[in-house]
Amino acid sequence: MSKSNSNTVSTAAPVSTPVDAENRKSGPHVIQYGIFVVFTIYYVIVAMLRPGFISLGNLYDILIETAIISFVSFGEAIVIAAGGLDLSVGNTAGAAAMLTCHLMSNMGYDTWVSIVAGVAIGVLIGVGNGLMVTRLYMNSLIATLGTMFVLVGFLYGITGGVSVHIVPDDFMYLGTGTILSVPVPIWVMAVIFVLAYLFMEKTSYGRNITMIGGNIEACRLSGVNIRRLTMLTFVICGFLSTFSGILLAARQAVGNVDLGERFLLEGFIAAMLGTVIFNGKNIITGTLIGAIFLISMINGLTLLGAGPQWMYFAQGGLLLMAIMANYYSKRSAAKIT
Amino acid sequence: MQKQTTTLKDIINNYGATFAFIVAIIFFSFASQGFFSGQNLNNILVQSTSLGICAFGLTFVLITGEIDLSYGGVIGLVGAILAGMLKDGHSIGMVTLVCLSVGLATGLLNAILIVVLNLPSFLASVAVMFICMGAERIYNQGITTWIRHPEILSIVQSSVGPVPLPVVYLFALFVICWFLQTQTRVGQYVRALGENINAVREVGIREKLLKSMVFVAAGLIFAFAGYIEILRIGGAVMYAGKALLLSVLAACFLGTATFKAGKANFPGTLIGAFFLYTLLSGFTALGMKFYLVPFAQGLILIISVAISSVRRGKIEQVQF
Repeated sequence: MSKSNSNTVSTAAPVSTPVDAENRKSGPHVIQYGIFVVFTIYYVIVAMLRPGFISLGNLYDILIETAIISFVSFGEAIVIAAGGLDLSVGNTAGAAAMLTCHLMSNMGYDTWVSIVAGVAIGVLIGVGNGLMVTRLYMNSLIATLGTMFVLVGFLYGITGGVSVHIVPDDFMYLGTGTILSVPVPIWVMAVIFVLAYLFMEKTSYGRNITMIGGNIEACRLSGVNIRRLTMLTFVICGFLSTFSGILLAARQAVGNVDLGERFLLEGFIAAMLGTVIFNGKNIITGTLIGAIFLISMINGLTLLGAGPQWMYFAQGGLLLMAIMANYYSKRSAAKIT
Repeated sequence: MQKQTTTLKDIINNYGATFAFIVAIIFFSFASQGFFSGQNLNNILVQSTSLGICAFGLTFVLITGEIDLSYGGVIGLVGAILAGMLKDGHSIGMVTLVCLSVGLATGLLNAILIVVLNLPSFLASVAVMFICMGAERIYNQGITTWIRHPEILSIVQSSVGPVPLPVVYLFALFVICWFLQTQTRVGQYVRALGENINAVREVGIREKLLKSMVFVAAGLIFAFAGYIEILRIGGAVMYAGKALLLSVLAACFLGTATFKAGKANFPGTLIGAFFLYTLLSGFTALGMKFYLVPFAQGLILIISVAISSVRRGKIEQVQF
């Protein structure tokens, strides 16, 4: 659980010294860009065997699926950047989706009121997680595990475990409609991506969050408000997770209790790839690319007719690839200092 | 650690979950008649065996300051192989050997990834979990295999006098683990790995070997847990390990709030495992809605861990 060095060591290293430039050409980066090479080869093979893989329809499918997991992934990436971990993302997404669907279809509330309620519950969960980590000093792994259990109870409690079939058309539009012939989820992803990118890369908040993950002692000494920023990461994560849940419910036109189950591991893999792809920098763009890699891998395997057993192997392999790249880039960072 | 004056606050900090456990038992005993019967208590013990055994393996790893989630896949893989090989007519001795070697192999794989290649244990073990789940799916092709050999099922489903056999296994393993960890030198070194790695290096212990041994031992214990779990159910259900994934973690973390505040320990893990099933059983006896059980389990996990971590005064980070 505790490794002394972190993935963001490189951000703390002095920028563009000659040694750094030397390092840029060295071995570990071959491994990092190796991820891109492996995927390019994979795409070429799949496209040759199954031409449908690069059809416009399939590319939209990949992007919509990517959009749905991207929100959870961005949230998880931001939490990880500050040295935390949120295990409750999947259930947060599920709780938001169930609450929204229940209010809308069973209770007859207005669509937008229901969505706001769903998003609000996510923010509330984020605040709860943040308070546990920053005020009660709980390890975020344990705190969010507890939240996860509580949310399972909540999820089943809303409707007693019964799935909710969605009635209103305006809600379905969120999942299946198009604007300028581009599906709505992709627009939402684009907006959230830009906002998250600006937040993490162009504001002092984002830089300080990355710094907390890199060296918390240095942050403490330099007067960064660690407590407030850590809190903020969990709130953002809870907020973003709800988008994944609500959009997935709108897309499949049904809200069920295990809707968010897959988000935890998929979001986690995408976020992990995200911190690796640009060597701990620019994690939001990295996470987006990671999510595309993950979804396109699953999509390609499905087209090739691979059963679910190979999905597990592939996801495990992808995760191993990400952490190995992370480790070797860390080792190179350690060498130059 | 200057003066050993025990205040009430210290006691609550160190034994918070233990008190909660006792209170829960007393409450359920008074609130519902059936709860405090021998049969029901027996059920709680039997249900918590595979979870408890698996949690012992995880506790070993947690003591060294690492984490190992591979049991989520190992239990299912062992179960699938156990049921599949029995169906093919292999002898139980042979099957047991294969099951334990699967545990050994996954333990070694974890050790290679985490100790030799130095990868973060949380992620590496999740990857191993995925690999095991894929292997399980390939082996049993998604079909639940039932075990139709009464004499083999009796390894787990019979009892010695009034005590069911799985409970015997659970307590036997508990005593072994507890003895190894607290009464032997190797056990002390294992604890030292988690508390002060530099001291371990200074003393000249071969830390990598020691840590690898812990992961291999954990792999063996996970395989044993899978073995017991599948024989208790009577068949290899798909992804049996996934169902236990979170409960085992919860039992271990509840354990950290039971005896030694903030530190994984075997008696705590044992109580944590019993606690989770006591809640399940008690809520069922009271006729509460089923979804209140995870709700209560989560709240109790949060509250008891919060009590022991609040005095830390520093935000804990999970590093990768």
